[in-house]
Amino acid sequence: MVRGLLLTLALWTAGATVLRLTVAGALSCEAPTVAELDEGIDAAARWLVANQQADGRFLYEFDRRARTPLPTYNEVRHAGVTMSLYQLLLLRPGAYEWVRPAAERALERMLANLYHGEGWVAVSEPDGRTLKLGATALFVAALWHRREATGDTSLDGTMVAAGRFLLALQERDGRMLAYWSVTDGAPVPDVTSRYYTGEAFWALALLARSFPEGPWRAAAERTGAYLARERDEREGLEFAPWPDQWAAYGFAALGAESLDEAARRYLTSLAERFGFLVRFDAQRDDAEWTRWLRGRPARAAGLGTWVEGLGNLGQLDHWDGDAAAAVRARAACGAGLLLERQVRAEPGDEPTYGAWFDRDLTRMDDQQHALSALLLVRQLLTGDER
Amino acid sequence: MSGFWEALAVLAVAVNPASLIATVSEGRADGRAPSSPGPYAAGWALALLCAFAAAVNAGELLQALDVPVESFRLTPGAVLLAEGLQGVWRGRSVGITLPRRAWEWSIHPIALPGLLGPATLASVLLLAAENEPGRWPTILAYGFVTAAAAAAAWAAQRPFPLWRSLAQLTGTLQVSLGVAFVVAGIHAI
Repeated sequence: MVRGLLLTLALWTAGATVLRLTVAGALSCEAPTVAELDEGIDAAARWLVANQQADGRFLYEFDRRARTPLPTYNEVRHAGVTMSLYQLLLLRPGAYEWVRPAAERALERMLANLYHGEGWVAVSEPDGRTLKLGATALFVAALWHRREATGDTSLDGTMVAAGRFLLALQERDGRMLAYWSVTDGAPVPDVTSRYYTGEAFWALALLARSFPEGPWRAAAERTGAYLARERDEREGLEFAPWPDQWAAYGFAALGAESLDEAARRYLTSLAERFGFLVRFDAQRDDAEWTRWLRGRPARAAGLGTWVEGLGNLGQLDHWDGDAAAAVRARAACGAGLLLERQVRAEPGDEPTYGAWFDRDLTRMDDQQHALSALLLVRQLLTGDER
Repeated sequence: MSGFWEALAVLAVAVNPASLIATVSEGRADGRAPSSPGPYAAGWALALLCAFAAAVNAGELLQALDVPVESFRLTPGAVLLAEGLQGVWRGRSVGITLPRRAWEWSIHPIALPGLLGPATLASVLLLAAENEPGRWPTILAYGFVTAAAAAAAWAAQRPFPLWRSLAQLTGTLQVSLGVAFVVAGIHAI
């Protein structure tokens, strides 16, 4: 009998241990306070500003072990970082004026390198052969945030012209083509991007907010419907929904009143996916056994996008009480993780202070996505209106 | 489905009373089981007490473990899957074995883990921690399932192949419920 009891007890203990190590692991994240969020936002912005070059480019990638920057650049990510800095100026009015010169320098670089097409403009690529939808979409988003943050409408014409480039790459069913061939003077047929479509959707939705009389709302709704109904399947993105934070930005910009049943289902599935990814990532840490079981913690450019997605979805008046609380809780959990993983030990050591590293490497979009994510969570927790 | 009925359906599958009855009735046929209801009653009361304690403290327990309810759904899912597959194969729950002496019936193992095996305990914790059905409907449903299983087991006087078949059928439901819990755990914010 005693042997039987001991055996039972041993089996229960072993079973509970296995469950704890696998499916019932602890989530190591705590919702941050507003002050903690502000510290993280401040440090991330300082990294971007301190590591900007005179020509407006940011430090693209840095290896802290070798103490060397890596010699490459990406115009889409440049536009994304610029947008993020203007987002900071818009969402924290008056608090980060020291960021403005860096944002303006980054914007001037894009303005100086615009490609002028027939009735539209687009952000140029260094090779001069193709124009990327994503770069111009995020350029529009940067201009929109600048306009809202400063009240300066002098670049409205450029923003609308860039919007027309997005329309030139939009197909009738809302699908967005990813590239324009300068050589052919036409869109590159049948090539799409998992990132650019959502970015363009968001840019069109922002244009619709500022210029309601234009074609923007109809165009945004077309691409929104495409994203919600068929993008994942048609573009071969497995394990739908693809966790597209840009789509969340776009639907948040359009507002809950624009959502039909398909869009509501899509947003719910997006929130579930972001929530699952954050929950899973919160079970990871630096211990060897968790890496072996669950993999490495996500880089900030990944975790940040999930939190951005949740931060945007949380702004929508779409959720019932429980779901709204879950979205907020998961967004706060993700922000807590970001803050925990941010390097803040050495203020003044610019290539590391305020950054997020993955295997000793940081890239500027790690800071971009994490900064935007922390901003959106701050907005969500404080109840600020955008 | 109201909270009580949801809890009742889930716990009826998780407990798998048919498996319990098959084990008890086969034990009786072997002449090993006690004839008085006392040991059964004591064992089942112990199971009820443990389930009650788990249900009342479910939220606090998960909080102490730093596991949100949404993630915890994977736990009963995994255990139900494992137990269900075993049930389909053997026609009885993995934890149910018959004691050899009469006094053993009151504590081990027909009630624990027979009535409160890993799958049942995990399901009770989950249901009690969820907003729907919540703590009290879960306790009520568990009490109802336990009482029904106890009455049926006491009434089953000799081995009957139907119980084992029913236990195997419930095993398939356990597998389905396990999959449903896993899917619910993944499809949660």
